[in-house]
Amino acid sequence: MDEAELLRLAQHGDLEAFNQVVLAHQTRAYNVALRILGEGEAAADATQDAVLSAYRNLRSYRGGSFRAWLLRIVTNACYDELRRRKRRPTTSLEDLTPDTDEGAPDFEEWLASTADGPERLSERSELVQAIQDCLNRLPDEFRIVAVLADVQGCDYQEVSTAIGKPLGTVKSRLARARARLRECLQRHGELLPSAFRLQGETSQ
Amino acid sequence: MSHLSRLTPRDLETLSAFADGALTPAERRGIEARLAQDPALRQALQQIRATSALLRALPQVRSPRSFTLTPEMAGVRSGWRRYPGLQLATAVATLAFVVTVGVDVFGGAASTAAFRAAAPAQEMALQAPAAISALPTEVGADALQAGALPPAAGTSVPEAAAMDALAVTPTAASEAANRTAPGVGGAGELQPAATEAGTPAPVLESGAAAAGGCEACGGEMQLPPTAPQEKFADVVTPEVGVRTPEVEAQTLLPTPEAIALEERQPGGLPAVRRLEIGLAAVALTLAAVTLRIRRRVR
Repeated sequence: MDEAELLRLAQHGDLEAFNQVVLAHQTRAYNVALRILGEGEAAADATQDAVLSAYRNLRSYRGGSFRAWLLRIVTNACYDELRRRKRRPTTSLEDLTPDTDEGAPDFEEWLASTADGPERLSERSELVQAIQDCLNRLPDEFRIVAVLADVQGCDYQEVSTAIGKPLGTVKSRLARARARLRECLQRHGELLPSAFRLQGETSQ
Repeated sequence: MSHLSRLTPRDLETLSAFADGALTPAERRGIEARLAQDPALRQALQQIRATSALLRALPQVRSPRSFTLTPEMAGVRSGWRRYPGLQLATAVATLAFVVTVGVDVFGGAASTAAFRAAAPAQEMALQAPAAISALPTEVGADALQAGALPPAAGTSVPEAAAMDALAVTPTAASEAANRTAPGVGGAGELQPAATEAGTPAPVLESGAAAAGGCEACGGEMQLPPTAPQEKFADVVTPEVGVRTPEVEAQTLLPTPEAIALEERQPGGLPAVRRLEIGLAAVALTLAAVTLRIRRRVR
């Protein structure tokens, strides 16, 4: 059964059909939340909130890319979490870097217990941490566009749907996000692949 | 520091979109011409591509758990969606029941009073549940009359429909009385009178017991009517809590009246009685379902 058919059933209250669609999208949804929020536990909560919200609002889905529709809900759930953090500064992004005590042990433990060899190693590598750190330093609206377009490979139209902004906004935010990321990553030069590093050096 | 920071915002945007293949053909031709002549612009494009590629290389992390919904998680909503409708339906059914009973009782009040003189023992036994909450002294008075004129009750009871009704309501009520107010011994002992009304002797005994019991525990009998009514509700259907005691009370209280009138018309239940019983059942069922949903949702 294809996704459109499952979604039609789900819109008539078929929870099993809805769950099948969720299974197809949950890894991507979780990873979007993970890269936007920079932390696994909050990302899982945001993803769960988003899935529940998607089920409740399924009638407002009117065809088109379900992935983009779902990512919009995930993005909104992430915005909610980011707003919560700003109201309670104890969970600012600085506290979420791996060398702090709060939150980090859970994430590390989870990484050690779930993924197999290469995935776990690469996720825990310094390069990955450096990229996440640079993402964390971006303003929220830049980070969200960078995660959707570059990390997840969504096209501009999907990003536009997901953040509810026109294509022009997507284009300009993505360009500025990339420029800032480039600048930030330059400081982690020794971790970067040679192609990336060489370009930085020849520009000096 | 990097080429990107030296670009104008417009060039940065154009290069970024060019890297994604998102330019119109005209825009693409324009930037391609400039790239051919400007090495710095080419390096900036290279940096954009490298940055984008680095982000795409981030590993896809396996989700720590499945985010599929359980029926409970999803059911929260469907429960809420039905809830207001059920509330309304319960209220409407209860109101219809009360109105029907009200019209019935006041419409037939005169003939009922006349009938009471003919079969006071039966009347007394059946009214006991009502007396617990509202009319404690009347039980005693009726009991004395019952001693004087018992036989009428015995003769008319075998009517099958009347026995059915008896089995449903007064037993439940007296059971409630037994459980809720241990001091109200008289009320509890009325049970044999209600269920075995065919024989006059037990009626007399329990009637006397009721009179004595009621005098002994007058204080408890005069509790505000709501307290015993709520306990009735608990005994009969546990789901029906504090919210709908009046529904329960209505079911228990007027039915004796219905049965008393019934004995005058041995041909079967008149339509209005069936309507009352039906409405009471509907109201009770709706209230039970509504409260169950409310409990699950909270």
